Amino acid sequence: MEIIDNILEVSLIKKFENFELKANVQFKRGISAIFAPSGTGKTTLLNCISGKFKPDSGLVKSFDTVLFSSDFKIDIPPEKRSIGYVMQDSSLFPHLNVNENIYYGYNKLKDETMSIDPKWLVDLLNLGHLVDRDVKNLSGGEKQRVALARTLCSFPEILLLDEPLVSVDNFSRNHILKTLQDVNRQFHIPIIYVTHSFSEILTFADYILFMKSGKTTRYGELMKLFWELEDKEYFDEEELQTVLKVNVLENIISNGITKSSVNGLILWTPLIDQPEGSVVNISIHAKDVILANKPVEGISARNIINASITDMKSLDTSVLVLAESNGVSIMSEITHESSNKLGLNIGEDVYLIIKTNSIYVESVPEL
Amino acid sequence: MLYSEEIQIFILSLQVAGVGVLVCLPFALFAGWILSRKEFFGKSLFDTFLSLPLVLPPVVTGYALLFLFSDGSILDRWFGIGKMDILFTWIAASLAAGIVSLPIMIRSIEVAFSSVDKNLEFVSRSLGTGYWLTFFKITLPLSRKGIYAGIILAFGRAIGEFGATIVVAGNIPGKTQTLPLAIFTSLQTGDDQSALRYILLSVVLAFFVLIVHRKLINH
Repeated sequence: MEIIDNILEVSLIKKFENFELKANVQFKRGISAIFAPSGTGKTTLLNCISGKFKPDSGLVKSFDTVLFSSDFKIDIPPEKRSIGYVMQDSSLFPHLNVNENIYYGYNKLKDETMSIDPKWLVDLLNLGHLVDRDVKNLSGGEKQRVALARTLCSFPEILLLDEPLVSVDNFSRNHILKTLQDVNRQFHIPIIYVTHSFSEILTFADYILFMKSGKTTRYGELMKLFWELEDKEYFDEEELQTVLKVNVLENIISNGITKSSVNGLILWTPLIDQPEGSVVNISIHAKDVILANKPVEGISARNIINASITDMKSLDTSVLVLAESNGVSIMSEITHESSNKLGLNIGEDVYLIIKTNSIYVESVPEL
Repeated sequence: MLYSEEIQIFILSLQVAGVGVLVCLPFALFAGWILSRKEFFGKSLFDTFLSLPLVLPPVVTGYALLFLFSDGSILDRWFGIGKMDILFTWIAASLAAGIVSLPIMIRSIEVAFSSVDKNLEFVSRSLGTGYWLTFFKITLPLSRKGIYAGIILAFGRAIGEFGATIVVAGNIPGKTQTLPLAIFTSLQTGDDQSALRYILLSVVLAFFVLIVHRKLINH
């Protein structure tokens, strides 16, 4: 089977009384985040893709199927689009219990063997103890987990998520993120994900779409685009961090540390409570990465990485330095003064110094 | 407690109102669905037309029915309705009661449908369920209470129906004489004691209907 890289083509206009959406984007396989200030039409875009709204003109094409075309007068109804859509308010059916909600779309499938096993999802999202409950008595996080399970059970070709983590506790948040990553990995369901939170994007997305006042502005690989960003309003400096997927190599329980690697680059992290060989997300705040222009000795930090500077970006009060080692890019944020003193320039070698305890291991839900 | 004649009138009243409302229910569901879900040219005219029986003197509605059901009318020519001898039977009384209370039922059902979260209907469809299946699996169950409330209120109105009924069904004891007609006859003949008993029965029935209605809409 030929793998189609562009999974969703959108080029449309939708006008409202005081707002107009102009979208032009070709989403790629993987996880795409839509990141933009509120009121820029993110939800409207998802509504047009899912068939909730009818665009005024344009084209929506999923894989080889035209879902909407004003030129050819095509407007496939939502039930035939095979697009899963988890809305912000979860919209559970109040007259059905949790289990009936989860199985709502699954029971409509023609070939259930092709689908995601609902029991697997119930376990993964930790919903087992809730299945007989009334949906009215669920917390925000529980509701979102049920909504996600319900949507995935209908085995959509593309999954749209509109800020699914807004009213969600940490426990649910981790379950949801883990499920999305597993689903994306195992079933190759592309995910389009609207969020306000930059840290969520950094943890999670492969691609990013920027929107501004009703227009899609740029779409591309997360790290590339992020670095090219001119607009500081897009991100919160507090949240600048590098997120890496590392392999657990060895847990040294007596010392409370774990040896892990990413692309052959060895990193010492706090103890990761996962078996050796498992893949875990870690994040490193840019402010916690110290730079040195020559090798340092006699220092307590365990991670000293020889890297070369690939890019630098001047922010209001600091300089953001992107350095690469073994194909792994790590961000460091330092003051203008330090940058000048060290005489840092693009292309030069540099040593990244990271304390084990500055590496944050994303908690993995127990299964 | 009640005399057999009173029991007969009571049961006939329930039958006339009940059948009238149930016969009109499918149309009320259809009209309620159109009014709550569709936009079309002339919608407000359609809406006004459906509300007419609420405002017109019931005698006028009765006269319109009499006209439609009599020999040589459009309905007679199309469906031969004149030969069915519906006029001056309990069926005519039922239809009169049903049509006079139809606007009440349509209004309640429209409100019930409108109060269903459209997002839920959309979610159902995006999960692969078609429009009409979604209507039966989501819209109807979620508006059930409002529909019941509409039915019970229309039933209450139908029981009290007088003007249209007397025109199309007359006031035939044992055949088409319902509670209001019996009250009317008793008052006319000066039988105040029977009139009072029928009035009490009507009040009890009205209370019962309104209490059930209240329970349904307050949930």
